[in-house]
Amino acid sequence: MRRLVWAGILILTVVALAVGARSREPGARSIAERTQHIAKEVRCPTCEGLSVAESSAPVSESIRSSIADRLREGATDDEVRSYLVSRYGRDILLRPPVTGVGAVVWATPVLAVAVATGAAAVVFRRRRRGGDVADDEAETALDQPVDLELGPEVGSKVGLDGGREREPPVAHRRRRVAVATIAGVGVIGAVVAGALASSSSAREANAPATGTIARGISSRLAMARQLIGEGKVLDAIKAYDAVLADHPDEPEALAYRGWMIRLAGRDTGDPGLIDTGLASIERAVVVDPSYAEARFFRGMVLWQDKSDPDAAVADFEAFLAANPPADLISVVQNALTRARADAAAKAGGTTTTAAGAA
Amino acid sequence: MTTLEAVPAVDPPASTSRPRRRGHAARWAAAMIAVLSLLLVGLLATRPPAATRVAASPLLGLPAPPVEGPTFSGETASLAALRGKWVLVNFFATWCAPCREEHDDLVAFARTHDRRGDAKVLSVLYDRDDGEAAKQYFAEHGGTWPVVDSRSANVDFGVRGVPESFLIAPDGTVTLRIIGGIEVGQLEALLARVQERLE
Repeated sequence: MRRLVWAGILILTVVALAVGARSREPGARSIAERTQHIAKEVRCPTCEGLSVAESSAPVSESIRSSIADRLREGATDDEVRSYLVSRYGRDILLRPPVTGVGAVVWATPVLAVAVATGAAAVVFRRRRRGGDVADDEAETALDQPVDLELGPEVGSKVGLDGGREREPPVAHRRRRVAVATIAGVGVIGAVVAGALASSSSAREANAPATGTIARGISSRLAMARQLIGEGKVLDAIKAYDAVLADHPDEPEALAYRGWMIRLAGRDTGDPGLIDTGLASIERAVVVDPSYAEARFFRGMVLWQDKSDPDAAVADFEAFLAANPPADLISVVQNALTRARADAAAKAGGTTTTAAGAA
Repeated sequence: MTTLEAVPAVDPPASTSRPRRRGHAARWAAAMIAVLSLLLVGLLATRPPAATRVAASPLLGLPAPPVEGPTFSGETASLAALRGKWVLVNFFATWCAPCREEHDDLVAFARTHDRRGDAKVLSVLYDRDDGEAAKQYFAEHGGTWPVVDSRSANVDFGVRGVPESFLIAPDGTVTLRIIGGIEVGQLEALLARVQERLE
């Protein structure tokens, strides 16, 4: 009978969870509801601790209307979140991380509750089996020998094991202490995990909820690109180094690592760094001659740092011929025009010099 | 046994010295906290104001998002139309004090570069309800560059507050994000630095 009750509770819980999860499906919600849902997860950039949904600051109004516009244009919730991250950075999202350590932080309270519930269930069950001694009787039992003072009903239950006559009250207290300890640990665990989760930074919008463990190469590269976007050049270089440690011939990692080192070289005026960067980019071109970005980067270095516009023109043309990313086409076309002009000027200059020498 | 007997003999001086030590410790702790607080106040007081600073943005090095919208005169102005020149895209509102403070500097910057023909200013209304006030403000305080009412530009550029400006290279890439009011000398120095790096 008791098992039936437990099974009933379990089925009810599963049904309730399923119904709850179903009602959250994006398709079933209006644009306004979806906007509100996303706005609640987006941090108001100018107000401490408020979401865009709660804030009336102009920037929050702009973000809310932008979210609604994009949803109306057919974007998914995740696409809207990714768009906001691409403009404001990852800290625009209020959601705590669900990657790596964050995943542990999120799982801890759930585990704590599960363990505490399980332990409590076991303890109560043992208690019921071991002897259903009322509290006041237990108090008396502490002072008096049990076998003589207790009634036949209780005595028969307690006296099942001859050696346990004095044990129940003590065991009773121990159980109470155990239950209290488990509950305490559960509560403390939940509070600590909650505090950690709320103080952690937001997770990348399109990062997998399974965390950084066993992250694929493409998401590691995306992570590094994200670091570049946030201006964390050194962290990006480290991320590429980590990818290259596992996959020494990864063209994107080679090319972007080289480009970042070259930019650092230009900023610090260190020609050695520019050469190191160029070597990494060169390697990317050798590994994958059809990888467009590597050609663009090499062209830029040859043109701007090595004063070799002819070689740059060849690389820019190779970039445009290699199915390049759309957002870079205009940049490279512009660079190509200017590199061609430089090449022509250089050729003209050489002719003049040659004519002068003759 | 000797140790047990020795304990009472040692105890009295120990019990009298402990409170004194504790008192010393409390005094030292209080003094340390006071010194640290003073240092912090001093540091904050002497630090240059963080009104203007060059900040990171996910857009740096990427093509600038489009900016297009009607100007005060009703014509359409766009960032794309200014390709080939350096452009300072400036987000502002007339109700923002630092925006008003930087206005004269922007006028000076625009005048200098209009003569040279190498850079332009393009202002974007941060608050869509601010259009009439902005029109009047420009009429009174000068400034002939286009001011556009662009619904999407604020979020497209990831603007967090006003004033905020972005320096766009002639090829259309975002090269700098400047938070806070602009001072013309500082802006010229930044432009020169970026030009030197990219050209």
